[in-house]
Amino acid sequence: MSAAGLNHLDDYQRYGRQMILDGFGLPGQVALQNASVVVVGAGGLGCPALQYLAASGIGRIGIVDHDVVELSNLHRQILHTEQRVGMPKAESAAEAIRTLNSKIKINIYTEALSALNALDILSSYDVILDCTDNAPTRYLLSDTAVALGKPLVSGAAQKFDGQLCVYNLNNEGPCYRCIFPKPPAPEHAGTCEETGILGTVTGVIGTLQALEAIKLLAGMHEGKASLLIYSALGVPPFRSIKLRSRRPTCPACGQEGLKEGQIRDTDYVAFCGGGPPDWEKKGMMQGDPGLRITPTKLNDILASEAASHTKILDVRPRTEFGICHLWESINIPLKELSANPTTTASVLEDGVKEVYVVCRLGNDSQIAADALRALRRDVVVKDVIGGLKAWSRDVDPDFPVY
Amino acid sequence: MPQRCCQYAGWQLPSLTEDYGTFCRLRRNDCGVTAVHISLKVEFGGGLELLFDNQRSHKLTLPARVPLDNSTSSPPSSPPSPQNNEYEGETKPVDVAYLIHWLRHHLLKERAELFMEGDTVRPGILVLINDTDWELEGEGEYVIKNGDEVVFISTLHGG
Repeated sequence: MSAAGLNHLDDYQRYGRQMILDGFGLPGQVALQNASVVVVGAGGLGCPALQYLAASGIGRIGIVDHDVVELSNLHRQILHTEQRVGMPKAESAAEAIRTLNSKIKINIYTEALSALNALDILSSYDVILDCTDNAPTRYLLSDTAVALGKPLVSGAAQKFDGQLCVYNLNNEGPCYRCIFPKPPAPEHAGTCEETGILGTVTGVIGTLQALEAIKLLAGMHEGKASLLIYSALGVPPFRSIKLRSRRPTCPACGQEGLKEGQIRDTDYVAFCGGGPPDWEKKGMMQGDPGLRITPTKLNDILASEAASHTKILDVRPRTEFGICHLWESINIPLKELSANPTTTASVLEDGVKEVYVVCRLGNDSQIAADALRALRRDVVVKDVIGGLKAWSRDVDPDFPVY
Repeated sequence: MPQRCCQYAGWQLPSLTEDYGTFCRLRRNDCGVTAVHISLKVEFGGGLELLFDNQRSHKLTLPARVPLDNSTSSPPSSPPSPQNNEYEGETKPVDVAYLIHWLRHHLLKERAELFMEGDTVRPGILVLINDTDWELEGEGEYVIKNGDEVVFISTLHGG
């Protein structure tokens, strides 16, 4: 077989349907066969990306992920299975794509990508896919891609929306820092757990990331920097944005440039204003016993005579209240309560002497209780430590956790 | 003639704003009369729409000339008229910097800190003028033209 051919005879049959495409051909398939792609994050974006990259015949694929598979991942992280809950995601995804394509080489990295290891891990690949879920890693990946002179195919998704962009395209295009020089505050960068995500939305963006990688490797990319914005509910759902060119003063790709050593010395989490808040831990803080109550104690009160003059106020959004709620609770979302505290305070009838405020994890309930306390000094207002998640854990195991 | 322009518009009828825009453009082009109002479309995405009554798309009409200091004191409910446009201080053609202030004061429903920081949008919000990054168009100094579309999207980090 000639040097420019495929490694196995049956590969011609396997990849024939894409090889007969004009502009792709045998050279396109050979390029994929000899290529290497690393996917950082084997979650909602990484899974569909890995699936298509493996199926398309990329020679070597790297998978970087330090998380383990959880049940709440399965609606969108389609390579993981019920049987592999608890397994490291990188291993689970590798197992899935190995079944799909036994001939490709797979490298697994189960450690977290950090400023110290990013250059070493990513340097041996041709294209880097950013399928991560947090701002610090996105800046780290962008800086590393620029330092290594590699294209970074970046995807993001939240709720019904997605975004796709190739940074450092041909070592000429803008990097992530050029477009977003200042990171948002961590509390403004919501996660899928907090804000929700429709599974197929990550599927759309992750699949497009694989497509961009294939176009880059097969020499079919138009070479213009653009940002694709996807909104599942929008009409039309896709919008392509012409992006600025590189920022000459960009600390990563600008004239001064960034030395590799500088990446290792950068604290990306601090640069982004600290890590994501641990809402579950924050919600569990005991606080002043006069202001907060444990689920167990609330349960005791509800079983006592005091129940007759007690009200439970659930301040979660209406949609979440609709999933599950304590049967005796009323729902006034924090948003409405903050906008109209006086109306909320007046909802409580005269006979009510105690109000217990509850939410998902015990954070919003503290804000709501504070607001209510200021308006109704005649009523005892406390909020539930750890929210409904703690209620399920400590009082009623049959109460759903979502 | 500018008065007629406003009467023609029917301020409360968004369906007419496009005709109104055409009308003003025609007047400006044909007669050399400068339009007193500019119609534009504003869109929010990436979660920003939640701050604006959960509505993605808005059609707006703004005065063609606005205060230099971006103050947006005229109430949004009253129809813009040549009378209440007679701002005493220095003016400039309506630009995106003014639009940002106007949105904050008249359309934003909650948590201004999620939309603005200092005098501009907060970090992590991308502004697009007619599908182009606003940095290619002069950022806040871009003078809004009739029929322009300005999009504000928040960057996403989830995956």
